[in-house]
Amino acid sequence: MNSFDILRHLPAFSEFEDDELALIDRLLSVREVKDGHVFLREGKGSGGVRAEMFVILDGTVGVTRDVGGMPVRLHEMGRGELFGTMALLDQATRSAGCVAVGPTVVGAVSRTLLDEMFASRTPAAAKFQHLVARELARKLRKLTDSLKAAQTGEFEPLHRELGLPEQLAG
Amino acid sequence: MAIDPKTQLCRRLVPGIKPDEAQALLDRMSRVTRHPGAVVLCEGEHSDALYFVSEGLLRVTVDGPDGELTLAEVQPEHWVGEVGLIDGGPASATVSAAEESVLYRLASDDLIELRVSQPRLATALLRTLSVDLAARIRHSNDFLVTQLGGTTATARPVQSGWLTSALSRLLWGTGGSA
Repeated sequence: MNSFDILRHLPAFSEFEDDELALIDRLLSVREVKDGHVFLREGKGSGGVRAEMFVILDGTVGVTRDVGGMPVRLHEMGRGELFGTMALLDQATRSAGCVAVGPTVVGAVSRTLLDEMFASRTPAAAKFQHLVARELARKLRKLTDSLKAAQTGEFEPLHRELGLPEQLAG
Repeated sequence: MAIDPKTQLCRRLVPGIKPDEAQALLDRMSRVTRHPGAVVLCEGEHSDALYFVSEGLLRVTVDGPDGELTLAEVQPEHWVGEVGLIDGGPASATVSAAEESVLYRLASDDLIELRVSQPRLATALLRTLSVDLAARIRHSNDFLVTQLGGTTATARPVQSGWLTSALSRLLWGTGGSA
C-alpha cells in the first residue's frame, strides 16, 4: 500500500478529499525505520528551516523524557497520529524525545514545505492546520485531566504525563 | 475609509488577516449577551464554539476537591472556548459572566465551512489558536516539572495553590485565553 492509500484509510484524514490528500501526500517524505530509531531528541533545537513534523503511517512511536539521564517512556502513539508539531509552531526546543517502537513508517513534512502549503490558501492547508490544532487540544486535555486528578490527591497520572515515574523520582 | 472597531478587534486576535477576512469572520459570528451569573461554557458538557469577549467580564472556574476554584477573569478582547471549537469535546472549565457581557460566538460548523470558503482566514485562525495551545502546554509542562521534580507520586502532598496555578496556566495561559 502506498502512502496515499494509507492516508485515505486513516480516520484523522477522513475529511480530506482525494485531491487534497494528494497534495498532502506530495509533501510527505516517507521513511521506513528500524526499532529504536530516534526521530526527535528532547532539548534539541527545532532545526530551523530543516525542522520537520511527522505523520505515523504504520507502526508505533514512543514519547520519552529524560529523567536523571535515563529516557523514560511516557506513552506511545500509533497510525495517523502527528508528532513534532509544537517546535514547528513556536521554534523552541523539542519538549520530548520520539523513538520508533518496532519497525515504523512515517511521513516527514519539512517546515519549508509546510509553510508553502499554508501559503497556498487551499482548503487542504486549512484542514491540515486543523489536524495540528486537534493534536495540541488532545495533549492539553490529557494534561488538564491529570492536573484535576492531582487535585484530589491522585498524582500518578500527572507524574506519568510528565515523565516523572514514582520509581525514578525522590 | 474607517475600519469598524469589531473588524479591528478580529485583526488583533488573528494576526495577518485582511479587513475583508475579518469581516467574513464577523459575518459568521453571532452576537450574544450574558447577564451576570449566566453560564457561557459548563465544565464537562459538550462545547463546540469559540467566544470573543467584546464587552463585560467573564470568570473561569473549575470544580475542586474543596468546591469551586476561580482560575481567571477574562477581559474584553480575549477569547474562550477554543479547545471545544477545535475538537468539539467537553469544556475543561466553567465560564460564566461576572458582569453584563457581550460576546461574539463562532460555532464549530462555521469553522468547518470557513476552511473551504475562506481557507486563508481559517488557516490563520487555526494557526493562532495552535500557537497559543502549544505555548500553554509548554509553560504548564515546565512549571509542573519544576514543582514536582525530585518528588514521588505517592509522597507528594496535596498543595492546591500551585496546582490551581498550573491549571490556570493551562486553561487560561499567559497569552490571555481560556
